Amino acid sequence: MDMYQFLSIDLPPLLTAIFCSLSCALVGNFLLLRKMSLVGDSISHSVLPGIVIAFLLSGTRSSIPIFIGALIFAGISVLLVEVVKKLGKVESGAAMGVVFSLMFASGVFLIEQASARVVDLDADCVLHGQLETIFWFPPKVFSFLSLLNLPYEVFASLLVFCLISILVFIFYKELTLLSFDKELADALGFKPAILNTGFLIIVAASIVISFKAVGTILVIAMLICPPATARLLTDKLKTQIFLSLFFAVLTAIFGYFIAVFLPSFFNLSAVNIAGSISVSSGIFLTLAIFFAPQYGIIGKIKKTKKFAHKVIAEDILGFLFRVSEVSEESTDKLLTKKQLLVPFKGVKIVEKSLANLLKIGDVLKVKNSDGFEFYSLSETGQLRAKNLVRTHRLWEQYLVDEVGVKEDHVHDTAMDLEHFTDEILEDGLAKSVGAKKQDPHGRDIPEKD
Amino acid sequence: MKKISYFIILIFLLFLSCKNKESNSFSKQSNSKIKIVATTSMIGDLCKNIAGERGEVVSLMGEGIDPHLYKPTRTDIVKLNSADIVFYNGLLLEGKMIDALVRIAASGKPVLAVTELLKESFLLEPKEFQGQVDPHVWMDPKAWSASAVVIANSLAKNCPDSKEYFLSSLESFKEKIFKLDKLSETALNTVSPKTRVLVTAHDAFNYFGRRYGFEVVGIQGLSTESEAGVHDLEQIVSLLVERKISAVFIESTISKRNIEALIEGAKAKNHQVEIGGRLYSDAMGKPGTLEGTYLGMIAHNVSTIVKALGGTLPEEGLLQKINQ
Amino acid sequence: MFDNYFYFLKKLISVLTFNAGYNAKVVVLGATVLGLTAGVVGTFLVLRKRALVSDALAHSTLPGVAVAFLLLSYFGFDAKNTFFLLSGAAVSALFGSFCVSFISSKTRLAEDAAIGAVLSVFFGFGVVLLSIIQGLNIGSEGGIHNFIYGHTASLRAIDVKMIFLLGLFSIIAAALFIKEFSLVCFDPDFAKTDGWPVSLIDYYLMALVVLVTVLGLQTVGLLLVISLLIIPATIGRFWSNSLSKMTVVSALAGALSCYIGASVSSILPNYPAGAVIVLTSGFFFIFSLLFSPVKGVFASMFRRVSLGFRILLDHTLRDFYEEWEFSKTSTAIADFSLSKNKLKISFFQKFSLYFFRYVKKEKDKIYLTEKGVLKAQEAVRNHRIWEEYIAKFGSVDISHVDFSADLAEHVLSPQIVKELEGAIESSTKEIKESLHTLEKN
Repeated sequence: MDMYQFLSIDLPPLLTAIFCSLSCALVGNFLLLRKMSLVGDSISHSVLPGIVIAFLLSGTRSSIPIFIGALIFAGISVLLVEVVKKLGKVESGAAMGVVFSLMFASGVFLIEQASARVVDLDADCVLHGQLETIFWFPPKVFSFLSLLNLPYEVFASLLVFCLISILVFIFYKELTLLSFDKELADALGFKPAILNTGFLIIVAASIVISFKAVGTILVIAMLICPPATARLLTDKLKTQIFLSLFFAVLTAIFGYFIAVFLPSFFNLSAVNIAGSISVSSGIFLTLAIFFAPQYGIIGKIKKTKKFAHKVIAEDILGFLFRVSEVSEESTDKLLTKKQLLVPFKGVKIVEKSLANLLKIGDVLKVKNSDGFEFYSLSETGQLRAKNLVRTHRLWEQYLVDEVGVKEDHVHDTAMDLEHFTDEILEDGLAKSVGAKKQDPHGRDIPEKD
Repeated sequence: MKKISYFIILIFLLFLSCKNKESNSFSKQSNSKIKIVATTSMIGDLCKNIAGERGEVVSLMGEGIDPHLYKPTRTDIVKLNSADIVFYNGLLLEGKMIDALVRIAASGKPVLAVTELLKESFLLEPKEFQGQVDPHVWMDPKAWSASAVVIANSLAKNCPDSKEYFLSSLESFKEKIFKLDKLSETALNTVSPKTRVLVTAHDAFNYFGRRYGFEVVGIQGLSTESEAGVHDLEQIVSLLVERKISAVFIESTISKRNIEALIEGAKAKNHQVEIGGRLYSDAMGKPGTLEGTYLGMIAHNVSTIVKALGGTLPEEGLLQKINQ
Repeated sequence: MFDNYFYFLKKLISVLTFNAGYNAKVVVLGATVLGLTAGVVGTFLVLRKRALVSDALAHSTLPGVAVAFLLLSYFGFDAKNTFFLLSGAAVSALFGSFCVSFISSKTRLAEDAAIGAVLSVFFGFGVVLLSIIQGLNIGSEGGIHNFIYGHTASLRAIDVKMIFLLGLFSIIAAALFIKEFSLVCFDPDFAKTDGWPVSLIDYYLMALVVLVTVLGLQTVGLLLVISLLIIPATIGRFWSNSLSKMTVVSALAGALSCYIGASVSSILPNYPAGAVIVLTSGFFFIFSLLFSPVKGVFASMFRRVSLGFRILLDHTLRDFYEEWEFSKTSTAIADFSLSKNKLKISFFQKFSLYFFRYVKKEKDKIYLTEKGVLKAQEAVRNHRIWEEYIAKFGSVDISHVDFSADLAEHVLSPQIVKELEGAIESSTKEIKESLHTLEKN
């Protein structure tokens, strides 16, 4: 019974949702790269008059005329947006807003005029879709051949997904070029205008096929959220595409089960599936926004924090080195904690940075016979500090010689720059500073080890 | 990747645990009872009255739910699929359920429109909405008894053992309905012919009006999907003022904003109109209360209208009189 | 037939002059004030290139309304209390706008993706909540449904008062910060480097947009409210380049389309107010797109044609001049003549040369008039100055100078000519020799 119910009621909508999500996510990747994500939004509002007119002309609610009507108006809306952009020199967001709201309004107007609501034709049927009503009655003796009798929505969405994958596979290079460098594509003779139109037709088709089954809101969500999630996780386009497909499937399954089974825990009836899938795509996107390793917000904060610690630690080392440079007695090189922290007044994380330096052994803590604690550089610390000070003074000299900054202004700039300087840059600096052995303030530039 | 695979496992666990729960709540309870699913609560009430203890009736739409806009959820689909027989109103009342009902019917399960016995000449086709038939048949108790006949006959056909039972309960229920109809007629006749105008939030009371001689004006059209026009509102206001109608009615399933705007408009023309009360149009009241049954709903509507428009009611109340 | 039109016109005038019924008056007044407010706020939104953020905001009101409905009915209040439902809408729209700017500023995702994601996820959540409400049996969802498509007809005096107050408030609030807005709209980078709190100003603007959106929910519904914000503002852009004028035009366009749209819908049956308002503004949009004298299609087409025309005239006159130069005669240019068929020009050009009296004809010979001489000298001079300037500073090869000079010389204003003179150190009014040899046909 259970398995039968799953096959009968859950499998078809689940498959339809998955295939629609896959097609949308696939084209969504390119929309995302071209900053055209809202084309989906625009198209999905604009098809309403097409649907109404198709209905009025054909007199039926059957899907083929309605599909054609919607597709034509999707094309018209894309064209109109371009016209308004070109003729009126209107920014693309505003152009889309103007066009799709006008088309949507004329759809609403037509519905009221034609009293077409007689047969359940209203803006709702575009917005929500009817995933729930895609079910079938599989034979009691189940074989894989009987899957052929699944509702037609399943096959339609599968077919669209296959077509789109094939097209994307064939035109992958062109699409990539179009997404990253329109001028280059032009120069290479790819005819971006034709490609662009073709691409938008594919987008329109995938949207129009999907919304009858899943509704436009879900279509927009699936065009944007899975590719955006993937984009936060990787830099490579191919990886991004595969990840987005993975997330599309995951989101569809996750959203379906939230809609269907979570409410049953609380003895509530199931909620709208399309809505729940869009919400779950949002959940994944939110997770990626916060926790993506490289581009996530928490990762970024951690990185910034780590860098701040590095800067403070290097400044501590530099300070200790400079003190040891000018002190003649070896005991003068030892600083109490209070003395050490004088230049870092108001810096909150300095204690932690110091503790860290002690832990990795760049700074040593010595107790004298009186029980006072003193800090000094260890051998590794000395080496690191020497390099830092060398970089610092090279920068100062460089800024004075080459950039023409005044001597008394270079210190702070060099203080910042020294933390970003790697070995290659340091060598380059040394070369352009030349034979000078001293910085503009007359202090020795330490030799490289 | 590891985290993701954990996540997938988690989902499957969730899925499995749900499955068990599902199987408890939807397992077959007993074989002797016929499982009936009705869309609106009015149909559900008919089924309950006719099938009695021989049937197990589930109605999908609860209190205050607008059938014009009702979208089936998966839970509803499960209920529909597990039913032995499905009754719906038809005449495009359940606009958003057509797809689901068509698919269920395609499987060979009996899916029946309770309005199928009504003759075309009986049905109303308002002028403003050509080609659209008014689906609010239950507002005329006599017509609704024809729906009871449809239900009884098809139950008998699907469950021949209980044929006698169904037909006898049909007879007794019909008797009640006719009694209510008579009583309503006498009560409503006490309203003076001048003020026999019923202004409501949407066009649900046309059959009621025809049966009892009331003029009916709805702000919204037959379906609640359409937007009310300022034009229509203005016309109704002038009607209220011209005919000196003192009460308008809100409906349990529809926002009362339009009616409030109407009252304000009349007030601006120095004509005081009041909300005469809340009528049950597209859904019955809370289950378990009197208004939660079909007879109670009609009785409630009739007494509300009679009271608001200045008629007189039998002292003991309509429902009590039926049961006498 | 005519009677019908006459009746319609009479009705229309009575509605437009607020002489029709009470409800029509209320609705038209409310819609007009809303259109005015949306026009003002929308201008900044569109100039800030954030037009579609309003779409995200409008869609993200749905879960707020649904949650407010659930809370109200859970605590046993009247679940159709408009004020609370709208407050819920405002809160969730504010959160939506925060999400959009958070995602687009803090992650690598661009604003369009942020808008789309917020729009679909919030609206999806709203749909989920609506289906929960449907299943809870706590009464009607009809009230919420009306927020999606609007219910203009049922506006009441108290709603109009609210629209009026909040609309006035947001217009004043926008006017107070018009300097900040114009800075952020026209030169956000400068504003940022100059230490203006750009993101704070943006949030302020978004708060105003949320206010207008929420007011618009009641009238045109969440799907069409964005058109009130975007379309009038885009119309304003066609008519002026200054912010204040643009704002005024946009406010007028918004008010007018609501005024007319609501009036028309209150006369004709089956004319839904929201859609008619939007379509009216669409009519104004198309009109402005085509006929605006500042940025309209026809205006710029006319300018382009007249420029091309000027170029042709200049060329002909220059040809004449260079022909004279080439002939190396000692006669003054005014006395120099060409035979009629030497000037290879179209009829149209010839006509206009005569029309402006640049040339005169004597015995099959064509002479330049006094006016023509001046014009020819100016054209040649501009051409050569420009040529020299490019050759000197533009590092263009001499052989290519002629071609690039041809394009630019016609748009040189006297002031630029002066600057060019300074740059190539020639201050007298003499006409220099051409840099390249003249080729004659």
